[in-house]
Formats: sequence, C-alpha cells, structure tokens
Amino acid sequence: MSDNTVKTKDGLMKAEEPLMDHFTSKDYKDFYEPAQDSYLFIDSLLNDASSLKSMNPYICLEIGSGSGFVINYLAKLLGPNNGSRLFLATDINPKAALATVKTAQRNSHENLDVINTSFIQSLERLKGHFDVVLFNPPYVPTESEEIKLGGIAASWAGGIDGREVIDKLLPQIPHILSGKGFFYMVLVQENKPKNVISIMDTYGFNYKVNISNFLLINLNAKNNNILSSSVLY
Amino acid sequence: MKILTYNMMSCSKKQCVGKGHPLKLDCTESQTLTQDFQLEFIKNMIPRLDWDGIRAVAPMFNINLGDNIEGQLENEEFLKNLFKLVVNTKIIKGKLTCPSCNREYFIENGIPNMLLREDEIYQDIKE
Repeated sequence: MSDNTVKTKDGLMKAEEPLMDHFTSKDYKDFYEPAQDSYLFIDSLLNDASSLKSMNPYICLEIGSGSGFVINYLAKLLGPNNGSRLFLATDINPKAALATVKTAQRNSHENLDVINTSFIQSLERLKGHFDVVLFNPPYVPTESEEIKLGGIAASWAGGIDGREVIDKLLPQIPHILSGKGFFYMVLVQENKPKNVISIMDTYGFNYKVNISNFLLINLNAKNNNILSSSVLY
Repeated sequence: MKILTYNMMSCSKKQCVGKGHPLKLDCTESQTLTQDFQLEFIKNMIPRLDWDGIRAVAPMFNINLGDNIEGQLENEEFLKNLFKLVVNTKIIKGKLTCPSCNREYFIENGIPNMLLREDEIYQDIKE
C-alpha cells in the first residue's frame, strides 16, 4: 500500500482527499469552495482509478480549477509522481489560479503548473496531447450577461440553460484530448445532458454517466474501448 | 511554472497563432527541484518541445546541453540535463514576451497571466 491511499472500513482502497486546511470561509468568497459536485467528481475519478492508472497519463489538465481540490485529488490518486507526469490547471479568475497553486503547495505537489487564462488559451500547442481533461463548468442557468461578471461568478454563471460556457468548450474537446484521452465534465439536468451527449456522439466519443444530484460524464474516443457506453439516466 | 510548461506555451492573441512562440523569457526568480530522473517521461515530452525555446533558456539556468541537441536524443547524460532544465526548474517570477507582437505577460507566484484585455480580443475578431 503506497502512502497516498488509505483503507476504508469495507476494505476498499481510497485516495486521500487533498488537504484544504490552508483556506478559511473568507477565502471561499473569492473562489469556489469544494461542494457536492466536487465530491461527485473525485468519486468518479476514484471509480476509474484502475483505467486511469493503466492508461498512464503524461499530461493531465483541469480547466477552471478553482480551489485546486479536484486536480490535486487526481494527482494523489495517480500515485507518487516525482516528475513522471505533468499536471496543468487553468482558471480565468486570478484568485482561483493562486488558490490552486497554494493547494498544490499544501499537498507537496511539485508537478502542477497553473495558468491564469480562459479555457486552454496560450496552451494551444498542446492540443492532442492531454491524456486527462477535467471540467467542472459554470453550469448554473443565468442571464447571459452574468457570465462576464468575473471573480467567483465565473465558477457558476453558465448563461442560457447553463450551457453557454460549456458549449464554447465542447467543439474543442476532440482536438484537445490525446487519442487515449479521458474527458470528465459535471452537468446538471438543466444543461440538457442528452443533448450534450448527442453532440459528443457526433464527434465520435463514448460516454459513461455517473449520477447523483449531478451528472458526471466521462467521455473518450470510440476507437479506445476501455470504457463501455451506457446511459444510466 | 516549469520550463516544460513555459516551452509549450504561446502568445494568447489569435493573430499570433503559429508565430507566437517560443515566448521570450525574463526570469527574476526561479526554484530548483531535486526530483529523480524520469527517462520515460522525458522521452515522451521530446517530440513536443520547441528546441529554439530550450536553447534560449538553458544558459539562464546554467545548464549546458551542448551544440548538437537533435543528435543527442538517445544520450542519457543529455536527457538528464534536459530533465533538470524542463522538469526540475520552475519560474516563480518574471515576464514572457511574444516574439511576434511583443505583448508582455507577467509571471507572479509561478502563475503566468495569459488573459487578454477586452480590446485585444476585439482586435482578434476584427482581423
């Protein structure tokens, strides 16, 4: 047993959650505090732990990393690193970008770099090389104008159907992911997830859906059969 | 931010696509890590590296990669030096400058700010 996993009562191996005690409730006025959707996210990564490990990702990316909770969890889940993988995180909110750096430092992750940018702007040369892409988008349906508010609003304001930010990224996904890549995204029912899936289907993706109050969709290219295709809702 | 990440980045402006790299680096604060050499990882990163960018920054961190970089890709000593430069060297503070439009991007706390102002985005749409 490596030191980054703990054993639960039922004997299952579980990756430890990142330490987050360097933030107080005051900090979470400036960036998104890990919530139910964040926990659904890490549970889904844990469920896929063996396929993620056997895929052996070199470059993992989180778009909109906020506090850095999810990408730091993935780093722990994949085990000791020592420079054998590169983790990248982007956030349009400067305070969230700094928070992700602080969470990496608190958790002694030296191979996570954070860029203050929109989506993958300035990282376009890495298109086709991201083995894992994580995205907990601003999915809350709002007025379109609210998207431009910036700051913490960037973590939730999703415009019409909560889809406006999501729909900017979807067409890029086939170009961003490597051939073996996995893409994880949180959606809520208001986002019309069946429509999202049919869009991704036209790009040639398999998908798997994890349900709680949120939907978490894991997509990967159809020529890679690690994951089965199923609709669970 | 690692030299590896810096090396793969380019100017955010749309009119600089294809010519906005390698960004010119001015580094005023850096950090050196001591992680063990990872052969598989560095070999996997090699096809993605911009060698002009590597050549430009190696001397700043006192790493000698020799003259004939492309001829040494199987040489383990070379790869160890390359690993030291791209994986174990981090930029904490400094500035990136686009070789095409001269736009400057600042790095603080290891984070490059690659966001464009609204008028710069509008500029892209116009062109």
